[in-house]
Amino acid sequence: MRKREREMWKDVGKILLQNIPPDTEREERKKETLARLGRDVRNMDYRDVPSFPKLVLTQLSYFSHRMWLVQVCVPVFLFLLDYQSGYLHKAAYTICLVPGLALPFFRELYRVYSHNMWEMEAACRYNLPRLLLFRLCILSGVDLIVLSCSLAVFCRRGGVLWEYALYVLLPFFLTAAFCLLILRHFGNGGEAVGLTAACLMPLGMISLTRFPLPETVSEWIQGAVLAATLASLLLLLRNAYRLCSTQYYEIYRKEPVSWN
Amino acid sequence: MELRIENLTKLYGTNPAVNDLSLTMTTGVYGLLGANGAGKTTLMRLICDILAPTSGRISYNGQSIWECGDQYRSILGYLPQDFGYYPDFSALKFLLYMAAIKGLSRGYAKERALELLDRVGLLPVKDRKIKTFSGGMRQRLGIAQAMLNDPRVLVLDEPTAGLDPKERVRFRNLISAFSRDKIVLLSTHIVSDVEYIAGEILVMRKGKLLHQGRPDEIIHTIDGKVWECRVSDGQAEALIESCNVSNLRADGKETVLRIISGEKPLDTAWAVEPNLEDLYLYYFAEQA
Repeated sequence: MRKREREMWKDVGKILLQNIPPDTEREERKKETLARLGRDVRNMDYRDVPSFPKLVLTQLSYFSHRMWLVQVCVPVFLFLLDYQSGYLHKAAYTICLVPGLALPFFRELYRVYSHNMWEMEAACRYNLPRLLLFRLCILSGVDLIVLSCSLAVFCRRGGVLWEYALYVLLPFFLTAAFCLLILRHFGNGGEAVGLTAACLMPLGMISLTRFPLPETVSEWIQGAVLAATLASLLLLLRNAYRLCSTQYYEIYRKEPVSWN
Repeated sequence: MELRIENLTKLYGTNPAVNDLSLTMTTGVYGLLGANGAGKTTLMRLICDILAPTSGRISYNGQSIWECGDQYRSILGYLPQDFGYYPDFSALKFLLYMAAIKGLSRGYAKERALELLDRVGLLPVKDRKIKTFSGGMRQRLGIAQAMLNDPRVLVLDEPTAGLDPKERVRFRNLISAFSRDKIVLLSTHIVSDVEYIAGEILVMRKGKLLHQGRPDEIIHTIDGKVWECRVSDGQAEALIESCNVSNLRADGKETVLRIISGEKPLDTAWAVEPNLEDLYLYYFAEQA
C-alpha cells in the first residue's frame, strides 16, 4: 500500500473514532451520524500531492518549441562567431544574448495571456501565480545554463567577469525584472509594453557598447559594475517573488460593456 | 453542499459590476440570465477565485473560498466565455495538461480524458491539433476540460455559444446527467438551453439579482404581459417601432405579432402564456 493511501486510511480511522457509534434503535439518529461521517470523509483531502520538481516538470509542455530553439541557437551562434573570427566580439554578446534571452523570457511567460488561457488556468488547483513560479523555475534553469556556457566561452576568449556582467548580465537582469513588473501590474494587458521593454533595454545597452572602454579600468569601476549587477539580480528576484505571491492580476476588459 | 454568496460587490473603478449580491446555491442546475454588462461573467470569475471582490464573502460548505484556496479550486470546474488554447496541443494533450494543473494523477487523468473525449464526441480526433478544430469542437473540448476533475461546483460561462442544435442537445444531456449532487451554474443568451435544464433561474441586471426561482415561477411574474395580435403589414411596422415585439410571423396577408407589454397593445390583441424568452425580453428589452 502506498504511503499516501496508508495516511488516508489512518485519517478515516480517526474520523470513525471521533464519531459516536450510530444509534441503531433510532432511525433518525442513525441517519444523522451516517450523514456526518459521510461529510467528514468527503472533506478529507485525499488527493495526490506531487513533489515540487514533479509539479515544475508538468510545465515543460507549456513552452513553445521556438523558445528551446532560440535558447540553443544564440550561444551556438556566439561561439561560432568568436571561433571563426578569432576575436572576442563583446558587443555581439549584448546584441545576441540579451534580447535572445529576454524576449523568449517575456514571450513565454506571457503566452498564457496571448493564447487566452489565463482564465482557465487561474481557476485550477495550481492557480496562475503558482504556475508562473513553475515556469520561472524552468526558464531560470535554462537561462542559467545558457549564461554559464556563454560566460565560459567569453572567458576562454580573453574576456573578464566584470565585462561580461556589464555587457550581458546587467542588461538581462534589468530587462527581465522590468518584464516581471509589467506582467504583475498589467496582467493580460501588458504584452506591448513588456515586449517594447525587452527590445529597448538591450538597444540602449548596444548604444553604450559603441563607446569603447579605456585600456585600463580602475578596480573601483569594476567593483561598481559587479555591485550594480548584483543589485539588478536582487531586483529580478524580488519581482519574481512578488509575481508569484500575487493572488490576483489586473484584468483589462476587451469587450465593450454597456452599463445598463 | 452549499455555495453561499453574501453581500458581494465588485467595483471596476467606480462602476459596480456586481452590486451587493447575496445568493445561496445548493445542488442543481442554475441558469444565469442577463444582458451584456449585467455582471454575469464578473460574478462567475468571483465564484471561481479569479477575481478578488471589493467586499462581501463567498463560502463553500461554510468555509470562505479564499481561505480554502487550492482545496476549493480542486473541486471547481470552469469554462470561461472567451478562451483560447496552445496551438501545438492536440485535444488529448490539452486535457492531460489541464489535468496536471488541476492536480490529477497521470493514470487517472488519461482514463478520465479519454472518457470525456468520448462523451463530447471528440475521441476520433483526439490526436489532432486543436488549431484545426472548428469553433463547436473547441467549445466541446472546453466543456470536457471543465469536467475533468469531476467538480462539485461547475461554472460554465456561455457554454453553448458556437454549438449547433445537435451539439446543444448533447450538451444538455451531458449536464443533466452530470448535475446530480453537484452545483452547476451556467450563463447563456440561448434562453431555451436554460429552460430545458436549469432547475432554478437567476436574473441579473446592473450587477444585482433581480429574480431567483424555478423557471415556471419566474415566468409567471410576467403573466398578463404577453400578447398576440393579427395585424396588416403596415400596422405591424408601426407596432414594431413602438412596442417590444418578441416574435412575428406572416400568416397569409396578415402578420401575427407577439408583443410584451404591461398594457393591452391593441383592442384586438389577446393574452398568451409567457415563456422564458418573453421574460428575457421583458427585463432586457433596452439592451436586446
